[in-house]
Amino acid sequence: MPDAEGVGSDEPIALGWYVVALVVYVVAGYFLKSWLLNWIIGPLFLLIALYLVPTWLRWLTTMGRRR
Amino acid sequence: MSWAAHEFENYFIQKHVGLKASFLGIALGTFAPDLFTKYFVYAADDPAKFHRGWPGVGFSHSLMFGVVFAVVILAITRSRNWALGVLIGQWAHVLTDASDTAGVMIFFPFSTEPVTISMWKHAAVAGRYGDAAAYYSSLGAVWDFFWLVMAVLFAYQTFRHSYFRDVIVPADPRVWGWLHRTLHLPERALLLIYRGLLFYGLGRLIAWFLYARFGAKTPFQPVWGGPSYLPAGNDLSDAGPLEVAIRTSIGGVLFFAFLWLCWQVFGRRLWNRGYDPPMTARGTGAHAVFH
Repeated sequence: MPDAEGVGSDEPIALGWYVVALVVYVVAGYFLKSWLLNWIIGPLFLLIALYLVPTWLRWLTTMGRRR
Repeated sequence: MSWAAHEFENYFIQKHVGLKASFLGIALGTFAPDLFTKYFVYAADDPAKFHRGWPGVGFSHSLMFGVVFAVVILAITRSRNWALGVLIGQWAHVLTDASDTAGVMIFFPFSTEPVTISMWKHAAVAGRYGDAAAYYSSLGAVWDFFWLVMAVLFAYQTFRHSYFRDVIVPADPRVWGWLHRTLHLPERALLLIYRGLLFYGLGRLIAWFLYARFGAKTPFQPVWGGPSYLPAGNDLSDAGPLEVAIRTSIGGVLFFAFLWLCWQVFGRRLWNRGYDPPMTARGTGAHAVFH
């Protein structure tokens, strides 16, 4: 999950996660241009990939454990 | 038109304005000229004329449009940081777009003469994908890369988390605070929004460049006025360089005289009625917003 803090750094998200997100964005964007390479999803992709999706997955995991 | 350069410029500008302007304001300003018009440009009969000319929506690529937009923002929000951010961002977009063959009516409405240095062809006539392929086959790709290097070399401080806390949020505590409270976004999520434009610029630069090489398979021709595989003919003016220079100079004098007059009549009063975020003076950083 992309909340692993770099040791000795004030960065809340490690640099490696940004690289992973960039690779995913470029590869997916190449094939889904009109969906991803636009002014709405493009600037928000980092938020979606590194915060909203992990938060949602954590929430799903927590709900699963409770059941 | 420029593509990812508009995103990278935001951080370069931010480095120089610091607490004086809102980063989100700058971003809105750089988006503004194309925000409500770009969608229709690709469907127009003459995309270049519609995008940059008059009659058309070329006024959105003038300095006056930025002034009007900033005055409206200042009148409604009273935020000097937002008004200044929008103005600087929009002006940066206009000046950057003077690089393609269609040019910009920089001093509209006092001069409708497009100003251009014709580094690459305005290729909206080829549709969005064709436009992207042409741009990333021309000096436009180099231009984007140049601004990426400029941002990395001279504005790398702005990418840091500490810069976000100490400058970005204090310069615009209302909006960042609103995003934090209303959407329940923690600080690291807001940091991702802030860095999102850099990410988007880099991502689309790479993706479109790869598309141009392996999808559209257009030749990379980074020469002045390229790419040469596209036909010429989207220069919006028949005037010679001297005529353009004279008309633009007259337009510039009239434009700045008009600005001075507006400042005297209502601009100064509007500015004085506005406010600077209190945190920029106190220097309390992001703590007042997030804690």
